[in-house]
Amino acid sequence: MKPRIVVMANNIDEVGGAQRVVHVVAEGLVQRGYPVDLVGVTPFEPRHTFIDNPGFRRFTLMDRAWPPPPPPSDFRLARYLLPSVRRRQAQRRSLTDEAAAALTRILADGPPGIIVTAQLWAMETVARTPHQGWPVIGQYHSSFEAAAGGRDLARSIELYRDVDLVTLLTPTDAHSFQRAGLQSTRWLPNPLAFWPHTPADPSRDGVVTYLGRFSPEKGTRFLIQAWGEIAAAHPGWRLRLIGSGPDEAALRRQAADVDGVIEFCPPVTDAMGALRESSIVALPSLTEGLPLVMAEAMALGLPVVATDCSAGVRMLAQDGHTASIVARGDAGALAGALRHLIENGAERVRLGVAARESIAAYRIEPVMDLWEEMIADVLR
Amino acid sequence: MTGPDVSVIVISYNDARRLPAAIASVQRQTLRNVEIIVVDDASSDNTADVVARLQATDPRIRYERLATNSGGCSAPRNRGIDVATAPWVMFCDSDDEYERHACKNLLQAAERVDADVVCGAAYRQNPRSRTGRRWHPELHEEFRAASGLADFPELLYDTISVNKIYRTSLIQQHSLRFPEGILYEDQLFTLQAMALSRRIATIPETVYLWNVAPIDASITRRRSEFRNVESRVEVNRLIDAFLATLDQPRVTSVKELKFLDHDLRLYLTSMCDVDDDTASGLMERLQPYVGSCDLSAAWQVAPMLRVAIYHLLVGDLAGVRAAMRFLTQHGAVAESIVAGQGRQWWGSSHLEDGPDRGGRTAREWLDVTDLHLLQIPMTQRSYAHSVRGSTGSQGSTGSQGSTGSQGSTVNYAGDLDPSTAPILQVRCGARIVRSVPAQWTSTSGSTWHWKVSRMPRVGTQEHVAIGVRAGDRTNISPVIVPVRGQAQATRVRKAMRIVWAEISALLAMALGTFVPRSNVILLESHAGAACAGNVRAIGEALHRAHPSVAQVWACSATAGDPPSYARRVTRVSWAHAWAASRARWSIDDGTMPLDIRVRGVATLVSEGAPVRHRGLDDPSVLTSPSAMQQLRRRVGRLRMILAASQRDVEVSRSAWGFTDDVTAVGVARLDMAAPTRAELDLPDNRVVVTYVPEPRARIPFDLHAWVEAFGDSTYLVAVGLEVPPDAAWAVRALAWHDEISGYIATSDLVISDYSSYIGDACARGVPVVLYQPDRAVFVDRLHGLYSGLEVFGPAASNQAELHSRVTKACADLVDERTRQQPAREAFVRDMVGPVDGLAGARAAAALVRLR
Repeated sequence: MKPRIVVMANNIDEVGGAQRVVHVVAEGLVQRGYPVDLVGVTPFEPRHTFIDNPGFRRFTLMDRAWPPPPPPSDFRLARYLLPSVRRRQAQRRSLTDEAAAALTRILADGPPGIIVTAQLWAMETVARTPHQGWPVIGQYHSSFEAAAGGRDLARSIELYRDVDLVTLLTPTDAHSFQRAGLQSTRWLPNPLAFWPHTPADPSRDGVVTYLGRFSPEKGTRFLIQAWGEIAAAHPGWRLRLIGSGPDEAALRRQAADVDGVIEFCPPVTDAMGALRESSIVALPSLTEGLPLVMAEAMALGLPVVATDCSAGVRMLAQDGHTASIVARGDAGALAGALRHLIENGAERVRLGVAARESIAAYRIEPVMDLWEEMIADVLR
Repeated sequence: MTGPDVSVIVISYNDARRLPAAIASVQRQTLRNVEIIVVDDASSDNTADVVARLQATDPRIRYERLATNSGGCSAPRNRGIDVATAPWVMFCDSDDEYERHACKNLLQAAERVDADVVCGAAYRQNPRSRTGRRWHPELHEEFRAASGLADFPELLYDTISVNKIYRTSLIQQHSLRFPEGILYEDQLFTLQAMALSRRIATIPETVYLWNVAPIDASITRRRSEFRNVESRVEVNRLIDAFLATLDQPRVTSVKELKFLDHDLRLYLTSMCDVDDDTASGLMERLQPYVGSCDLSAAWQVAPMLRVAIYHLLVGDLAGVRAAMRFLTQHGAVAESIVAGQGRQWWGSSHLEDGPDRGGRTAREWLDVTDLHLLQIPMTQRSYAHSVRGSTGSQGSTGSQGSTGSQGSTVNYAGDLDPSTAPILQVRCGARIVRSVPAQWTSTSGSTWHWKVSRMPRVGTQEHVAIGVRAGDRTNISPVIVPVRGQAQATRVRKAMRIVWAEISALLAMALGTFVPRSNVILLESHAGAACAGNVRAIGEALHRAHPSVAQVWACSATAGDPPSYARRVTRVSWAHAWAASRARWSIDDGTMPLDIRVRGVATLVSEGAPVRHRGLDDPSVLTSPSAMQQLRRRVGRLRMILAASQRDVEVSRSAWGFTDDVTAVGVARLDMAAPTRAELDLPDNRVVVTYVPEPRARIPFDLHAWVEAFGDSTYLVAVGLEVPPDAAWAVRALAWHDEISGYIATSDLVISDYSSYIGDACARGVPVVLYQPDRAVFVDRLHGLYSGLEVFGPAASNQAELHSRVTKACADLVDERTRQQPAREAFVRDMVGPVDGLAGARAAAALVRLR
């Protein structure tokens, strides 16, 4: 009899990488015979369904959206005194209590098993909920460097101190988190949603695709800057930016000054379909975990130009062998790598073939084997 | 269900209070399938009841009781081994705890590589605060497996038994048991188990929380007790006997080294702290065993430890203490140094002693030439000062009796000036709080005695230092004695002080809103650690041009004093906030605290030539929300940036996203005249090299390799490195807030990587060697560089390459200077801006223009 598994994420309805991963994993666990519940903490509208007729139950703990944080203030006392701030805090308190109560009901609705928290906030909710007899597997889906650059490192160590196991995306990250204070870490990659049976064709000239949010840490402005350096010499090529985000207006302004074709497209639900039309995929991020877009592009047999921004990128591909990897935040280097691939169709095909071969380790089957092994170890 | 995976043996004697916590730490293990064997060493308290209660709720707990008390840890552990049923066994003491994943981490590692013994990290902690540090962290950097102890002999340094998992069949096969009746029983047991293993491994995870109380009453830590030292000697004899049967010379030699470097060192150190009788007792008990050892390992340990061992062998307690002072008090030299035939020896009293049992002469034992103590520049020496009596914080005890007002100084190099009196200073960091003149009174050998008429008061966080002179140089060395009054302020008091400072600063800001601004400028550099660099140079130029503008420096409590015309305020205090409210201008190098509101013109001074990416150009800032928020707040209140060159203006605009007033003025610290080598006490007869890397957590520079290669021919001024006493003759450490530019000006060569001080070297006409061993990480993965360094050609990428470049440059410095001149000039033109001694004046003019 396989144990019940409750997979928790901050929200499960938004179109995003983390949400896609938890759905794929939940369905993978169902295929292996585990009873699975997928739980989001906060609702998101419009709700996106990632998998038709899923084999798992879906829950959302809060019935209203989470109020945003108050604007930062120089005066720390304001945190305790301003009525608007106090109101917001009261609202948050009632929502968190509600969430804990809802999670208690879900846990009680079936035999005890294992809780998997995909994100830190989900773990905060678990920590507030009595869950005796439930081993907890905590996950962190970004690199150690990214965590150390913000508040996440201290938060994750605080929250995950007592869980049974913490999974990170690469062995390097697992080691770094261990050194930072978590004594039970393990490496577990995210699986590819599905394996494309026919690869894309990178040999034809045409499109360089970026797919992701438009926000500062994604480094999109460096890509546009790089495009400015090469576009004029290659009029047959277009740069396609797929996504949305806080930087969109600024990026559109920046793109308007560039002498070359740059298309902006809204976010898509079928990432593989969007990537399939490109000849090169660019990932100019300044920080990443294990970038799924890169893995999917590689699975499609497309050449990728990525930045050396995380252990995840370094694990997915080797520079010159299975992708082209350049320094992060360096438009010149990005332009050089793109130019080399644009001018060299055979090189694109060679990189793509090697990439597809190497990325097979991230197909759902081998990754779910790792999951089963891990679950057995946790229950030991 | 099959039997348990691991047997955990928890031993206890009369410790019913703490035992439940130890047992609970095993019950909580993420490895559930364990058996918990509690072995009670015939306790007379209610241990049995406590265990029985726990047994009622957890069937994994077993209880064993010895018939009579054994008085040690061995017998109960041996009983546990006898009754253990699992294929793996671990040990835990009643006053300690396991980390939650200890059993699983150790077991999985053992299974993965089929090891017989696996060793995890122990964390020595204060049981109340639960803070501490890892025991031998260097052994637990990462997972490592080895085929036996001969492959990994360093593990001998970690022979406690509790942080390991052992294969039960190995213990049974060789009938391994803890030796009964002595302390340090685990040293023998663990060493035997590891030596007989086919495979051993270490894991990086912490597995054992070892509670070490600050004043330790546990039996094994009272080092000064004779039973303790006797056990230590006895267990070493047992280990020697075991190793003799093993015939593994590598293991034997590491064991000998470990005995001298660790075990013996502990006793030699404690001889400095205990009274004379106890110290002599320790010596008597150690001498026979140490005398019977081979001791060739003494030439692998620190030279001064060898010297201390020699004094132990000849029974000279004062000699042991003097030698150990060097090792425990930052290289303090408490003995005269005898020089001759190109060698240097420690002290004169034993030099003519006969050879020892192994035929080694006293001169070989006492040879400290490698420390080059006489070559250390006078200002950098560490004189051994002693103060007799006490210097209490409550009143000045010294003034009441004559004993408290005397002290002594060892004139080890024989060059102190009898006509210049020493000075006694009370300091807080670099700040001189009080200063009292003293007089020389008498000399006995190389020890010079002095007295002061009145011992000054020493407050918390303050220390006493003595200034002595030789020729025109002054040396200021701290007195390292347990002086009352240096006690650390309690945590509550520290917190209270911070809260009070913040509240009063808030109050000052609130009141300050209503006062008119006046002709005051608030200055700060290096986050308050010093009054130095560009900001200081601009302040001086401003004072020359506009002496009516009052200057207020914000400094931390430990910073040295600002120039005499300026006033000092403590950073984040009432006075600081008040000055910030009244000041018409403020100027800093980018670290002024954001919570102190500045009402005047806020000005930022660029650090100099733009080399590494800054601000919004630095990906590690862009990806850190907290750094971004700080940057926005800082830039939000800025009115002007004083940049170096035109290029630096462009960089400042993009790096800070700042569109207002950015002015190129040059680098103000270059206005300051170059000091002479004599002023900085730099040697005239050696090539002076300054190493100024960009600040970062771990600076990739092997100091010992450098000293070995260049110690004889060069003198290195290294910024941000820690210089151990044995390198002090060839290397001097500077802090980031020192006047680095002055040292660069007198250097023959500058080594740097991504620092704006490359611009200073170029402007001062000093050749530059670039050394960027971590470029792939620092530049490509973390920060990035502005262009400009290309003129110098490729950088050295490892230390061997650096050494060959430095050798080449030193071979003909004049040629190197000329060869690089065009590159340096280009760099100055593009990055540094005008070098005419007027940068500070331009900055001051730009500043007063705005009101």
